[in-house]
Amino acid sequence: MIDRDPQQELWVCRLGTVDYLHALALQEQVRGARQAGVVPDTLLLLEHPRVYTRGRRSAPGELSLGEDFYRSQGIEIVEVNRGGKITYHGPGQLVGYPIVAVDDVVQYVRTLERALVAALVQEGVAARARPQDGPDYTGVWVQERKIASIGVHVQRGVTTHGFAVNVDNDLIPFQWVVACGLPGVTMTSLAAETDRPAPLLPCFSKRAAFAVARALGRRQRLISPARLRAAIGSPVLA
Amino acid sequence: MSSSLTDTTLVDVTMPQMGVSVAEGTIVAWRVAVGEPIAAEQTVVEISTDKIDSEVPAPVSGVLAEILVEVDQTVEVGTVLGRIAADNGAAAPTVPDPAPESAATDPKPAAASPTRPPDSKPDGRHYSPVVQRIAAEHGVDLASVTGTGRGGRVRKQDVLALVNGNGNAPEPPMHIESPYRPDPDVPSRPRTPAPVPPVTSSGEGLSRIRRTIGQRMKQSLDTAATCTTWIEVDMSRVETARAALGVTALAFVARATVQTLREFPALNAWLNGEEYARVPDVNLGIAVSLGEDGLIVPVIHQADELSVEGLAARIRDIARRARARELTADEVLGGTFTITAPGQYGSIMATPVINQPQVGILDFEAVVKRPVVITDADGNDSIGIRPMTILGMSWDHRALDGALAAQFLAALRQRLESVT
Repeated sequence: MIDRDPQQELWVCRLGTVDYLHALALQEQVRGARQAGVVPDTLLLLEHPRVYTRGRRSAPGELSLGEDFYRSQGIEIVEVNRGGKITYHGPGQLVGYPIVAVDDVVQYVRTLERALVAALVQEGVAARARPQDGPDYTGVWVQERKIASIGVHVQRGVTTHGFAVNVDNDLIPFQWVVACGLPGVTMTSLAAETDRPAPLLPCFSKRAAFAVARALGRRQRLISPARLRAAIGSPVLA
Repeated sequence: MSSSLTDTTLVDVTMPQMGVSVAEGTIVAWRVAVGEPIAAEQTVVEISTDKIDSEVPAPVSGVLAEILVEVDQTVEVGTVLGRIAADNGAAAPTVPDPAPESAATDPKPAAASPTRPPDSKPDGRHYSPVVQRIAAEHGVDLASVTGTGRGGRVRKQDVLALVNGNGNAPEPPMHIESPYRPDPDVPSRPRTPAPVPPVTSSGEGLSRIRRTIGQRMKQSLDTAATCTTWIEVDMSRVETARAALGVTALAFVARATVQTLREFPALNAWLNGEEYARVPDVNLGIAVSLGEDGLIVPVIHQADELSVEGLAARIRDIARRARARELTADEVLGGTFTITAPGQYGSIMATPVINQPQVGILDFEAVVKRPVVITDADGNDSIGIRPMTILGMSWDHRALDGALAAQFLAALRQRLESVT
C-alpha cells in the first residue's frame, strides 16, 4: 500500500508541448518517484506534437492511408508498449497524465470521466460518461460524439497515461485512422461543440485540473517543471 | 521454512481484483517466458480489465514454471494464471495478494506468517478469493469454518465472525479501501452456527440479462432520489383521434410527452453524479418487453422532429426489431427521457424506475372507462363515462422538485385532452 500524501495534495505540473516519447519517459520517472513515496499524486498537463500512437493490439489496417501520407502531414507514428489501439494526439488537445496511487482502477477511470464531464459541463457542453455501455465506451461523449479519451496503465498501484480532451485541435487526423478501434465513432471538440474561437485550451486546462483534483479529493498545488525535476532527480525536462 | 522442504515450492500467480466491480481480466502479455527467472515484485504478466492495463507483480522470487493462461484469454478474478517455482531459501511463499498494490513500500514484512497457503478444495469445498485472502491473513483454517452460505458455502462473514471472535487476532493488514474490511458493525456470529437446511433449488441462476437489469435497477434506486407523481387524464379525444389515424394511444402520449419536454427542458436532461446537463434534442426511449428475456429500451433519436404518425411508425419499428434482436448499439444509447407502457394487461398504476442518467420516466398504463365528474362551459357538473388513464412519472428529486413534476404532468394532460 502506498501511503496517501498526508497533505492530500495533487501536484499539478504544466509542461507545455512535449514530444510523446519524452513525456512517456517522464511519466515512468514520476511513477517511480510516486511508488517510492518521494512525490505525492501528480498530474502532468501538456500537449503533444501531432502523433499517432499505436498499441500492441493495433491492427494493420488502422493506418490505411500509408505511413508516407501521415508523415507528409507532419504526423509522427510511434509504437508504444501498451494495450489498446491507435490514437491521435496533437496541439490543441489537452493531455493529462495523472500519476496517482489507486486501489480500484475501474473506479479511478469513472472518477476521471466524472471530472472531465464536470469541466466540460462548466464550458456549456452536455458531456456525459457512458459506463453502462461497456469498456469500449470509456471516455467522455457529447451525445454519440467522443470528446475525450481515457486510457490508464497501472504498475504496482500507481497509474500512468490518463486522458486526452479535444479542446480546439484539428479533428481531421482522427478521420484518417480508425480511432480506438471503434469504427464509425465521430470525434468532436470543445471548440466544435461551443462554436467559440481558439484558444480555449489555457482556460480549459485550468478547469480540468481543478475538476480532477476535486474528483480525486485532493488540493491542487501548482509545481513548476523545475521543481518536479528537482523532486524526481530527472534531466528529462531539460 | 523447514529445511526439510527440499522440493521447489510452486507459487500461484492469480488474476488480481482490480476493482470492486471487476469480475474478469484478459492477459495482455507475459513479461517473462517459462524457465526464465523473476524477482519478487517485478512485473510477471500484464493484464487488462475493462480496457485498463495493469502489471501483476511476482509474489515470490524464482523461475516462471508454467503459464496456464495465454495472451488474449479472459479469465475470472482469482484464476491461477501461472506458477512460479520459488527460489530455494527464499521467503516462504506468501499468499498471492489478489491486488497488485503490494508495492515495495508495503510495510508488510517479507517473511511470511507460518500460515499455509489455503487450498482451494481441501475438503471438496470451493472458497472465493476474498474468503481465501481473509483466511490467509488471519491464519484461519477454512476447513474448520462452518459455512452459512447457500449449500454450506463459506462466506466472507463466516470467516470474519471467526476472526472477530478471536480477540487477540492482529489488525488485518488489508487495503484501506478494501470493501472487504471487517466493519466494526458486523454482527458477531456464533462460532458454529446451526446447520443450514438444504436449499431446494431448481439449479437455475438468473440469466445474464436479468442480472444486468437487476443491477441497473438497483443502481438507479440506490442513486436517484426517486419520487413518483400521478395525474388522471381524460383520453376521449386521444381515443377518437387514434381510431381515425389507425395508430396506438402510445404514439399520442409519446408525441405529447416530447412536446411537453420542450416546454420543460429541465426534465430532458442527464444527471451524472453532481453533473446535471439539459440535452438539446429529445431522444425518447420506449421500454419494450422481450417477454421472459427481459426488457430493452430502444431510443428514438430527435423524437421532437416527428409527427404522431412518424412516432407511431418508429415505435412499431423499434419494438419489432427489439423483439427480433435486430437493434444496433446506437439505437439503445443516448436516451434523454423514457416512456414505459405496460398497461395492455389492465394495470392502472406503477412506480417506474428511472433509466439513468435520465431524470424522468413516464408510465402509461391502461385506459379504462370510468364515471367522472364533467364540468361544462357554464360551470354545471354532471357525471359522464370517459376513457381515463393514470399517467405516472418517476423523477429524480436530486434534479428537480415535485412542483415541476406536477406542472409537467398538468401540461401533458392539457395536451392530451386537447388533441384534435
